[in-house]
Amino acid sequence: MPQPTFDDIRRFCEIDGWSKKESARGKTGDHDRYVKRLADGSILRTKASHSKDQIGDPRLWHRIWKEQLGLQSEGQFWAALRTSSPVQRDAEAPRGTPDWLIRRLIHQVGLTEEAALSLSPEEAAARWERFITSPHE
Amino acid sequence: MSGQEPAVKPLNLSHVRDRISEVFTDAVVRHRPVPIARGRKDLGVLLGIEEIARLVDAISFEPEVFKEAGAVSVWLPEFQVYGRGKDLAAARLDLLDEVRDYVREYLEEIDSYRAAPNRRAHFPHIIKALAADLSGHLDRVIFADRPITQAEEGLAATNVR
Repeated sequence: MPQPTFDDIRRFCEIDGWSKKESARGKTGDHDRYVKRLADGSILRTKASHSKDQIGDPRLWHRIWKEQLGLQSEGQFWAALRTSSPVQRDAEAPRGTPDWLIRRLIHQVGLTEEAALSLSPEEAAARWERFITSPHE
Repeated sequence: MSGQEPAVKPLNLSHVRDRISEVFTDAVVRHRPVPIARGRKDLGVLLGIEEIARLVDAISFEPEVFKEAGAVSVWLPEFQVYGRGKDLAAARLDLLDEVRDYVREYLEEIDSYRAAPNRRAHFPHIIKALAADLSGHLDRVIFADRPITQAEEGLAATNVR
């Protein structure tokens, strides 16, 4: 699949019903900023540079579509652009625990990989909060 | 409530108002946490910034650097934001700007962010970043835990030429 441009991301946000907003510090800057609130309370945030650049690194693009745009696959992004239709999101579907949190649970909390992956996102977040607020662990 | 007296009895808020300078000195200069109560339900603790920094000392950030033709990006997984620029230095500055923006947004809308399934775990890192920014150390806190090597710097610079 191709790498997207920032114009693609901007167009995706418009199609997918994101709200455009100023930065929290009142700046518009070099980016357009977008936010979308899902039915389960999740808050998605992304930005699109005013440049015509392409996002050239596939690892960065992977993080953007997965963690910022909250998509389950890259194909959902391109399908939305192709069909001009918003992504069908299942608000009740469990959202994946972020990779960084899984790593912390394994390397800092000491869970096995199997145990960390078996936690729901809410359980993983609660386990992490418990760890960092407990001086005895 | 257990009905037992706490080890340190909270100061009443109206009492604090009358001697705010002394209370502030206690917390910030003498490094003594000051519990403060308003009525029977609202309880807070005034802490100096040094004490807050100590509480979040074990928390770290792990930025990731991505390079491509004409640009460098730094992704911060703990907040799911990234900075981007023509070189590594510019990308880092942009990321710091993003972090400040996110911290402010998180705190301004704290009810919804602390309840959001994909945001609630960010709270300890928000406090870490806030304390670091207030102390003028945000750059060091974000990047020191995962130093960007000279080799990486050189690689990024080569790539964007």
